[in-house]
Amino acid sequence: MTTQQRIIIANLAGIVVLALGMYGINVDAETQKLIVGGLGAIGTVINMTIVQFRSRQTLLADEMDAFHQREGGYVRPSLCFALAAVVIVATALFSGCGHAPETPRQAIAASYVTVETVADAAEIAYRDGHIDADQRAVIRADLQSAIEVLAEARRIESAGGDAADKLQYVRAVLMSVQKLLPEVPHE
Amino acid sequence: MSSAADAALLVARLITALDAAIRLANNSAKYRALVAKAVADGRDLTADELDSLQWDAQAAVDRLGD
Repeated sequence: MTTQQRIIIANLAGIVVLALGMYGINVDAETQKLIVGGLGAIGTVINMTIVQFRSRQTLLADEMDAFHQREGGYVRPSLCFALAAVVIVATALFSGCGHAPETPRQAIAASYVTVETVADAAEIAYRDGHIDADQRAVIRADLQSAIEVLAEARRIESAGGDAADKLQYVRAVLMSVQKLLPEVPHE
Repeated sequence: MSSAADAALLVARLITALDAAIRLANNSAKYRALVAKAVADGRDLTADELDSLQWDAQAAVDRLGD
C-alpha cells in the first residue's frame, strides 16, 4: 500500500469517526481500528477491481496501442484512477473485450451500452467539476450523433446490409469523446 | 498545494472513480446478461432488447443536458 493510499484511508476513517461523533456516537479505539480496517478492505477490493479492468485492457489491441502512444505510457491503475479509465473500459466493452460481440446486433448492443457508460462518466465528470458545461455539451452532441448513427446501423442490419462502416464511425466518436474527459493522473 | 488539500483531492477523485466504476459495472452486467440470455436461447438479440438498450443510452445522453 502506498503512502497516498494510507493517507486516503486515514482521512476516510477520520471522516467516518467525525460523522459518528456529530451524531453523538462515541467511537472507542477498537471501533476506530475496525473502521480503518474496513476502509482498507474496501480499498483492496477497489484495487482488485481496477487490476481486473486493467487485465481486460491488455486484451485490446489497436485502441490501447493508440491510446498508450498518444498518452506516452501505460495508464497505471491507482486510487487516482479516474474517468478516462472508465471510458477506456467502456471502449473495451464496445470492442468486444470481455464478451466479444459475435453478431452485428451484439456489436450494436455493445455500442449502446458504451454510449450510456460514457454519458454516465461525463455526467459524473461534470458533477465533480472535471469538465465544464461547454465540454459537457460537446460530449452530449457527439453521443447523440452516435445514437443516431446506431439507429442507421440497425436499419441497415435489419435490411440484411453491412453496418460495419457505421459501427466504425461510432467507435471513432467514442474515442474522440475520450479526449474530452479528464486525463488519468500518473503515479 | 498542502498535504491536506492533496488528500482531499485524492478522496474526491476516489469517489468520482468509484461512482463511475459502479455505473460501468452495472452497464457491463446488463449487456452481458442480455447476450448470455440470447445465446442460451440459441438466438440473436431481439429488436425489443436493442430498443431497451437504445432507450437507456438516450436517457443517459439526455441527462447530460439537464
